[in-house]
Amino acid sequence: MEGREEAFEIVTCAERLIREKGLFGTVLWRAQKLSTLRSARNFLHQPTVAREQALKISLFDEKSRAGSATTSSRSREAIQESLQEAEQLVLCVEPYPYLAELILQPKEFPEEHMDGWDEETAEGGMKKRESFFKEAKKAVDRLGLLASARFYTGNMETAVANTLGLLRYHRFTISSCELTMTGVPNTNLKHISAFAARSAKDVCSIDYNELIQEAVESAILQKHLPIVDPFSKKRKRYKELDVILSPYALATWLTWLNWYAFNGNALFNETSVLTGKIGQLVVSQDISIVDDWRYDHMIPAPFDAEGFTRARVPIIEEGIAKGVVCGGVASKWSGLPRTGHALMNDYTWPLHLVFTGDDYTLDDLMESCERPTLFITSFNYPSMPNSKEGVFTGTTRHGTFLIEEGKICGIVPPLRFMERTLDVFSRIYMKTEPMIVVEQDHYEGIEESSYAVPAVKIENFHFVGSVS
Amino acid sequence: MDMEKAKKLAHKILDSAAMIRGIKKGGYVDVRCMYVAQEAIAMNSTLVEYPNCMRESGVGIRVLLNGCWGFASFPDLNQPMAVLESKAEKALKEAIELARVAKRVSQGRITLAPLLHGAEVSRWETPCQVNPSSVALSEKIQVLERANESMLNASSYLSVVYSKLNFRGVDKLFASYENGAYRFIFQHFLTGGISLYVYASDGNDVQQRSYGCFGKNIGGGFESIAALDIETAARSIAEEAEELLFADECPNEELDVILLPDQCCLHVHETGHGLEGDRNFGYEETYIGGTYVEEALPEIGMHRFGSESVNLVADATMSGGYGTFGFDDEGVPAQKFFLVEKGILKNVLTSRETIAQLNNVLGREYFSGSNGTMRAYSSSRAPLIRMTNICLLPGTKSLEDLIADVEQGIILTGSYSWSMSKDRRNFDFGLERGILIKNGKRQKVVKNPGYRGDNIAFWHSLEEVAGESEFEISNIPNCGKGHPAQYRPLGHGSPPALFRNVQIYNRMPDFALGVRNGRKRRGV
Repeated sequence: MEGREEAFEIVTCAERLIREKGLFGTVLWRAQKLSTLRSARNFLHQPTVAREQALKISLFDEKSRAGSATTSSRSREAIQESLQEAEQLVLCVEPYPYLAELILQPKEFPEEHMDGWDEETAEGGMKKRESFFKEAKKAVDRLGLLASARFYTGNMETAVANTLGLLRYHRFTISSCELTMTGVPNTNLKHISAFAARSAKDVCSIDYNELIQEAVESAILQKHLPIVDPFSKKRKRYKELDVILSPYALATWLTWLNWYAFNGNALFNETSVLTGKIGQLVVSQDISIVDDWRYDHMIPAPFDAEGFTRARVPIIEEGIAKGVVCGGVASKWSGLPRTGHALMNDYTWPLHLVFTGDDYTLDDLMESCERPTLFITSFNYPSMPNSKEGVFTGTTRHGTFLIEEGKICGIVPPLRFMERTLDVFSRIYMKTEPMIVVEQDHYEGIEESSYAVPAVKIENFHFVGSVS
Repeated sequence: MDMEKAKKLAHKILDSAAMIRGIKKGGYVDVRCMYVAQEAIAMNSTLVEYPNCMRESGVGIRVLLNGCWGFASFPDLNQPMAVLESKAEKALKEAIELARVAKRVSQGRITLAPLLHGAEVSRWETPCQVNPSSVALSEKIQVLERANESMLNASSYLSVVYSKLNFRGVDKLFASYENGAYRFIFQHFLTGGISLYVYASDGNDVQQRSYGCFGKNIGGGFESIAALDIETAARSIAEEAEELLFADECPNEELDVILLPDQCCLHVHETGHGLEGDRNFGYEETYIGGTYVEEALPEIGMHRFGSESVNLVADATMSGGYGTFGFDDEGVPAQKFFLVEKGILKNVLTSRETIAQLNNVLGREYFSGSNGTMRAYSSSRAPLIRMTNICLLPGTKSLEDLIADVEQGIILTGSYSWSMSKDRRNFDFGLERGILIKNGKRQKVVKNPGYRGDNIAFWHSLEEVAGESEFEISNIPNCGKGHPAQYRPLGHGSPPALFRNVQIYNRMPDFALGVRNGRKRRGV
């Protein structure tokens, strides 16, 4: 982290050099620190601090020939070297007609009103994180279980400049804690896998006692309830079952839709489940999904990697497909509106999905179950076997519970499901209030992404087998 | 790449660490200095998209203090030595403090297995004839142009025609201090790959075909890419994508399956994760999960993992593999060993820290030293157990022999989707293309195939494996593991392989689920 003035100096240095060469372009600076404590079965095996930084120079000439270069060094010499490399690329390629247009300095700067920064989190919040691991250990000791957990804090700054004079800066902090309680291997409790997670922009907002309690309650249920396999011959009828998906499970599904459906590239390439359906009623009218970084408690991200102000983008509104997100290149390519969702690696997808909820509580959802229903905590390693049809598969994890007559009465082994997204979203008939969930897969470090998702109740969810 | 500067810095860090009591006596510290240079050029239809070159450098410091790890990193080796030394000092302090936190909240301690081979200074580099950085960009673009032209000429149904070249060079210095001894290992890695894919569309259906397993990726220089017959491959996938548009749907039934090398390698890959030794101790419990191998571990050396035809080796010395190196990120030399031999589980992938843990579970000294699989993607990530080049060894028959041995079956190729349960037992793979077999002969092509099942039963159902001449390397550029998450290029190899009685399904769930809500769905 360099701070606003230093970051501006870095990007304006590069931007000046571009202009001096008679070229045009955008400069993006990102620096981050990610501090992770990660344990496995009560042993903290991966305590790490990772610092990363990158300066990306994207430039083009008057013929629209384009190239880019990225460096992890911020020195003037390294910037000059990168610029030369990018310039060499420009000279070797044909004009590219789908370049993102450079942006003028906006009149409004939402980042000035919401910088999403918390000093304690930026410092690492180590005391709190250490306490969490001690408390989690005490909790599993009482239950005769093992704790595997991850608690990280991170911070990132982004600065963007371009040769039209754009200059923007944003920084944020993030904190995320997750706990998995498992049974001791090769014992009669080995099937237990209880999970809970909390995320916030500030580490002090994470109530780890509440999180531990959530996992403990799940573990206790798994410890004492009978195991019921819907795919045993006796109960084979349960291939279609009503389900309640936890916010964790629904967030995972939405992540896959972000990659495969809710972006301009997928829509234009005809591989999105929304291709050809914009403006049509695609799911039940109770469903609204919007990408909105200003939603309460989201990790804020006021502009994208091109410096474009991130718009609020309705994806599905009262069941009608409304649109998808686009960065500058995807917008040019597809003809869809530019929404300020360009990512550093040239992809584009939503980062702040809000799945509109209702006023029901999770207890309401469970108590209303008149038919056998499964409560699904999480999905493991899912996939999309048919993106155009929105077909989604995966296995359940971290506790799959059978609810009968409104009460949890059995623990179900992990099940494999396969469903069509739009069908499923048409069969949602109860929702809780949304909670903030941060998904865990970011290979390039932290990302200013979070979702607001409810638990949802769905009729006739399709399972294709049990795992064990 | 100033490796002398890196060595000087690493030496300084090791000297400082060696002054610390807990490290001097029974501790350990390693330093990785890495310079990475990458180049990516993509072509969408007839247009080159933003070509990009990337340069990245940094330092990662890992300490083992009082039996616990701590790791810290910082970027940018292109800074004055005084600045680097100051940042290194700060990172070392952070790593030590993290190890102390780990000690305060942890149960147990790590013991490193002895390092069996440990020259003071070692060097290794990827064999290479033509360094990609010496090849003109225009020549690289021509490769893509020819590929895209071949695809575009092969079919008029293509809605997306895409190709991409990637090259990555890594200079890495590994330095360590342990029991008064310093070690320095210099390695230079070169990898490159080309990916091609097309979408064919008739306005209603869209079918995808792609080249290889996530492209054709090779450890080596530009000569490896130049040797590929890319235009023929490009033409084939374009023609096959069009063919799929008009092909029949894949049936839902139990069939014998022949996996072609691209998909067989992916299946080996997903199974190979289950053979990572650290998964037996919950190291990935906070991510994708554990392994069904854990239950078999006490019987390692005699446990039947699969049929007699299952011979899985981990070979970090394989030419052209993405998992090929001289030394891992603990300084352990590259090795080749059986994971499964004639169907019997013989080994798992280990590190220096997992040896004692594994032997403890077994109650015997089965494992003697690390088999050298600890690697990190970048200087900012701590090393993890990663697959090297995991290969299904060839048998003696040919693909045609395998087909002749099938009464009712399907040939599957073109990885489309993949999903595993948390214990790696249950799998689900979607494929781009299937060819039905009846009475030992190829029949029609079918679209939207998939297969799912139980990995234990699946590997027991492996009946025959084709021979050496049909063995193909499929390197995977982007395997994910760990938290913080890290990509890792890995290698695999396999010939075509025949599995009996596998559940085949259609990736359109109308077909997969049959009857729903009392209404008969359309089917095959």
